[in-house]
Amino acid sequence: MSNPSAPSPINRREFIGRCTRAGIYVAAAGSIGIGFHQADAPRPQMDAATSMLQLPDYSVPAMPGKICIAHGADRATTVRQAFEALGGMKALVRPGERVLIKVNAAFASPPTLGATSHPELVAAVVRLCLEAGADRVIVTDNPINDPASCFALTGIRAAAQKSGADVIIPRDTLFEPMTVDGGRLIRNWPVMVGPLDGVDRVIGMAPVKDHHRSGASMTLKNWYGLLGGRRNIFHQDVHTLIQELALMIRPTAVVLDGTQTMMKNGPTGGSLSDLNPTGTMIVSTDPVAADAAGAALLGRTIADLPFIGKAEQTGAGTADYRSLQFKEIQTG
Amino acid sequence: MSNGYIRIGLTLKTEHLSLSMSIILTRRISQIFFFLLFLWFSIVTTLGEAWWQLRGWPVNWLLELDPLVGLGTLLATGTLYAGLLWGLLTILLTIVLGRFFCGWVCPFGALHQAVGWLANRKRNTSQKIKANRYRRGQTIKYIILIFLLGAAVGELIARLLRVATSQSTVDAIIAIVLLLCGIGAVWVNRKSWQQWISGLLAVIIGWVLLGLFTDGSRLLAASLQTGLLDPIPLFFRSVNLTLLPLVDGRTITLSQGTRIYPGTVAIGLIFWTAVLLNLIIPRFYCRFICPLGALFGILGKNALYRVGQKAEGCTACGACERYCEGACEPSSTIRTSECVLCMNCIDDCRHAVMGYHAYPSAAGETAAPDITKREFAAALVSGLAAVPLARMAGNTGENWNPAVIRPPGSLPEAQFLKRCIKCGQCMRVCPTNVIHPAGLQSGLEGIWTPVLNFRMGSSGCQRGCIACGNLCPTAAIRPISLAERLGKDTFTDQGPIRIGMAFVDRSRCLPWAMDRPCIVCQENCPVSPKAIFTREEYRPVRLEGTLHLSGMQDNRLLFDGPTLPAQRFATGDYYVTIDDSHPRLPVRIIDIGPNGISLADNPFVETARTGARITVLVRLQLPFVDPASCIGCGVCEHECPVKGHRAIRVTAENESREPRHRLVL
Amino acid sequence: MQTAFQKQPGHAETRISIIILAVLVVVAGWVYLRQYHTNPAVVALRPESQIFASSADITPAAVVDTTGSDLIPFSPPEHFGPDTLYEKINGRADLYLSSGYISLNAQRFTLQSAAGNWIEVFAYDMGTPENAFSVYSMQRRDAATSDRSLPDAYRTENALFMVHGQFYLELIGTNADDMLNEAMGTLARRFAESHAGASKAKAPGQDLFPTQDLDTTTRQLITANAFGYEMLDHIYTAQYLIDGTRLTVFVSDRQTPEAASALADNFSQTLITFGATAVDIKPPVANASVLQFFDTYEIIFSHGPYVAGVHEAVDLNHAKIMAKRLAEHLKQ
Repeated sequence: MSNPSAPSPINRREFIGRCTRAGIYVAAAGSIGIGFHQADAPRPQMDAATSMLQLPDYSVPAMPGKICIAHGADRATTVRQAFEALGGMKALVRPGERVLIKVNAAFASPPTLGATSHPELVAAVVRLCLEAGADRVIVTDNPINDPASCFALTGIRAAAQKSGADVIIPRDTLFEPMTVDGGRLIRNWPVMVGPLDGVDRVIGMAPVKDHHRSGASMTLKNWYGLLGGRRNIFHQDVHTLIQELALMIRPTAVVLDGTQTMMKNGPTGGSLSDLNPTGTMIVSTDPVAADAAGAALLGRTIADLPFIGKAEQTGAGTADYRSLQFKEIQTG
Repeated sequence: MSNGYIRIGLTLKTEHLSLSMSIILTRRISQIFFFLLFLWFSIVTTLGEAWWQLRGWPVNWLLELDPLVGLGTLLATGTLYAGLLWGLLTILLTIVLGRFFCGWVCPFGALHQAVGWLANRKRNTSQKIKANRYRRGQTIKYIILIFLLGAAVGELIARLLRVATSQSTVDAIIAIVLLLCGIGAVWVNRKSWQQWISGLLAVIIGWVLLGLFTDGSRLLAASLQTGLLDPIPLFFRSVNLTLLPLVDGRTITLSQGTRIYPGTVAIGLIFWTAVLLNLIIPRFYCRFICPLGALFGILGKNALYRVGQKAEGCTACGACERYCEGACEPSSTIRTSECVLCMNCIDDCRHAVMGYHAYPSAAGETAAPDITKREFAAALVSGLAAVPLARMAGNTGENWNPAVIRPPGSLPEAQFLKRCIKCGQCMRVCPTNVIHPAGLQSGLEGIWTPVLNFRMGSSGCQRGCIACGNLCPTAAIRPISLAERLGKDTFTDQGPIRIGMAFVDRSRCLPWAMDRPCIVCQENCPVSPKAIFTREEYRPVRLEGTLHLSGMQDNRLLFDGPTLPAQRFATGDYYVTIDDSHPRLPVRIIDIGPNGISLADNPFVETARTGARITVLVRLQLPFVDPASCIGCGVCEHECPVKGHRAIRVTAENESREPRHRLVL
Repeated sequence: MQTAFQKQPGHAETRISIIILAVLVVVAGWVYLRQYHTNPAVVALRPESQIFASSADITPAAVVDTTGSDLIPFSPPEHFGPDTLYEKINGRADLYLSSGYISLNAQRFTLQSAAGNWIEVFAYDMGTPENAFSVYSMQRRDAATSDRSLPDAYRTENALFMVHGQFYLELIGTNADDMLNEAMGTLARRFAESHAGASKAKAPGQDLFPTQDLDTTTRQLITANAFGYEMLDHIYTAQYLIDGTRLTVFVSDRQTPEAASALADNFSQTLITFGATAVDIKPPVANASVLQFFDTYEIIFSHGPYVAGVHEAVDLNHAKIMAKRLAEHLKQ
């Protein structure tokens, strides 16, 4: 460099061109660097409720609390007559509406063992909805065992499809984090809200079962099947969780199947000797009342089942089922 | 460095009081300066207030200057964290000056240059020139860079693709553009314009289709793996973990205990291989492997100032390539992106032709690196594809490894893997030496990321220590305050940070399985109230035969039966009851001697009958862990006297950073 | 042709080199200055960083108010609940925990005029005066001397022990200095003054015993397992000196006459099953059982809600006299 030669005119233009280009790069790098600069450490996800998702109230506003207890051995008959006693499915489902039936398909267990919703009952309720003019009926649940096997072995899939309903099997994209307003357990927890998109009416369907942890598994606990994630952790405070489920969703109606009640070894059962043919079907617009009525089938009182009292506290219904529009019928 | 001896390069002309200084000398001073700075930063990274300990030394400055760290984290996380802004300075200077970092700052490069020079001393000139010729293999470092950046950019691409499908305004714009393109395609006649329009159409349709296809899928994910080969983290890692712990001896002691690091054989091997490869080709790592050098090559290819030939005078003697560090062919068409600004060619040129100036070399330049579009595409796609494949193992999901205990303040795993550059600073500074580089425990992505092992080190993860997070240059481990660590002041609701939970192995625990009193774990549990509590149990001791009462005197029981050695039974943990006599509560044995068993007091004196059976019981305190209080610090595991496979072990359940791993409500 | 050997660095080269060296010097200077900003991790190592204000109270009150005296607090007040008591007093915690312990407040005080020595005050809140008296009496040290100015207190060489209402106080000095002992008295008095209300109440159990021949320092309340018998809880004992022989007397308030006579019977029966024999004499008190247990005598009776008696008396006559006095005292 002891003999620098001055840049020639061509080199100068080229130099200015390169200067400009370098200047643009510098400006780009600088703005990206400074623009994305974050002086603070990344925040860990706190327990703050970030999800604003809320489920709509699916109950029929005009309808006061109604409950019908129907006695009989044939599910299709008892459920039809029970709905009739409440004013018919048409009082609950308007023509053109979409209905979602949340069944219990928790275990890959045959219908005879009473651990899951009976396919005959599923088919009957689907037909009732379609007869009332529903545009589409969806049947779904988030099972404990493998979903495809559960829907197949319980016979629910076949029954639903045969009677004209769509079965939705859970998958990751159907879950969204949700926080229950007033709850401390269900905070930013994945809930299966995908199938509820565009649905107008929700009917919960559950068999009456003994449950070692919560005392009984009936229509209030049925909504556990909408939770995702590692939901077993809630067993440590299961009654409060069921209370929060009652806060989370207000269904149009619930169907509590006590045709065969699982008296012991619930919720999985596994033996016919666990079942008692109590021949009762309870249909209600009030899930707390339905559970309170169903407790007697298990030989338990409301005091034995703390979740009923807790759900009642939230205003989800009343345990005094006889105070509702109460009907008790015998079918053939 | 000419004619066989070293010239200092600094001359002082006393008559004129002028000073002239060779640029080579300056470069050497700069390299030595940064090398010593690197060594100093490595040495002082121990927790303490002495001048040779951490104090406030900016030990991460060289990592922060490294723009690959900044760029990698920016692509993976969308943020440029704190001190990594220094990398912007390096980038700006590189855009103007070229690869000055490689030749003047990088301590790893300085090491390679020194070893390469030593290796070259015995070679003659033509051998040296041959060693410095350009090789096509020098494009491998660009492939490595593109691959690593591809692995980091997956999430950003997913987000860009989602824009096409998720936002209605964007959809509207796309529809309009497509409409215009359609009209244009019909209307316009010129070929080049038609090519433009069809190209644009292809891009937009491709973008929308890809967006739909990948929406919600796991096809695209980001992971930061630049730390594997980025020279600054690599050098820190190698020195921190494989060299400095070995230094502690009688004259120099940098840390209190003997520090060990499981899993560092591979790190050491890579380091020594890189160093010794310089014996074959000088600056082997810099030329063929270094992704940071590749980044500088790309950034600096159109630098304002570059090394090159002046207009006339070159005789093609090749002397300039004798000590060319970058193997950039200065004697012919110089490859600007390979030139590391060592200035050796300028010094060696006998004809004053080489210079560092603002105009291109008279013999021509190849600015761009020598990679083809095909190679670029292959590297990028491989990088993009590698991460989702690695995630298939489920290490960040259901198949998480409970043996992977991360330092307190770590981010949740998926975010952690987007920030950790595997520099080893946390492992170096940890005062109890419990952090070590992972092998495959946390999957392929987690190689050399920090995991805790409480069997080694001095005392588990110290409760009042916040060192690792405050050293981490990328906030993969957040810099937490003491209040957050302990769950005090504003963090009282959240409680202390938990890194795991201790589980008592009842089949190995001394009181549980072996009837031996011990509550070392409970004693050492540092939280208050203790997370380990005990329940008292008295168990009958197995003896060879039965003891019968033969007499009593004051507080002493005389007995027939097997001998009871005082060494074992008079430790204060053994008690007696006498059958069919009151009281039922066992009474402690104080001493055993030729005069019988001495008791703490003798309530049997009224009720015991001669011949009654004496039962010796051992009083055990059985440890239980309270999951609501345990923070997983590992002191219990460290102190457990069952020294092999410990009888109380910490695993990552209930760690604060992952709500899905919660054990209790 | 210039050879390399002759080449001299030009002005530009030199200037650039100087600039670069200046930059290096600036970098070195900056690094040096930066090390004065101590890293938070190193700051956390200092002992003062580890102290946290408890969220409940910002400045907890001193255990004893020493304003206006020569005494000043020497360390911050410490507070221990049932879970953390053993951290302060280790194995001795069991005694307090089984006697109704609520909390311990401890603090050190020193004399401004005599630094280097201090007194540590342990103020145990035992919940009730009986509990406090129980732990006070059961731990009475052997070398105890009374202090007339402080009722319900005794001193040893370097300590003062006091019971005041529901509190049990231990004041332990670093040595047996007179000044420290006097300061202990001051602290004890101030504590009593600031916790007034309880001071007026009689010491628990005082009025249960006849005063004649009573050794007042031997009054004890044993909360559980008195004399080694499970059924004997909440027993006051005291020792009497009659004609040179010591007698141990016990009294317990059982709330109802039925409970009292049941306990008396129970105790007598237990002794008989362990080998005591009834002594064939006229009992000194109506319905008393007089037993001989190996080589000592036991008299047990109940009167109203009280169970009382003489324990392990060596001389039967003295025991009978004592029993009579006791019964008469209890009648009042």
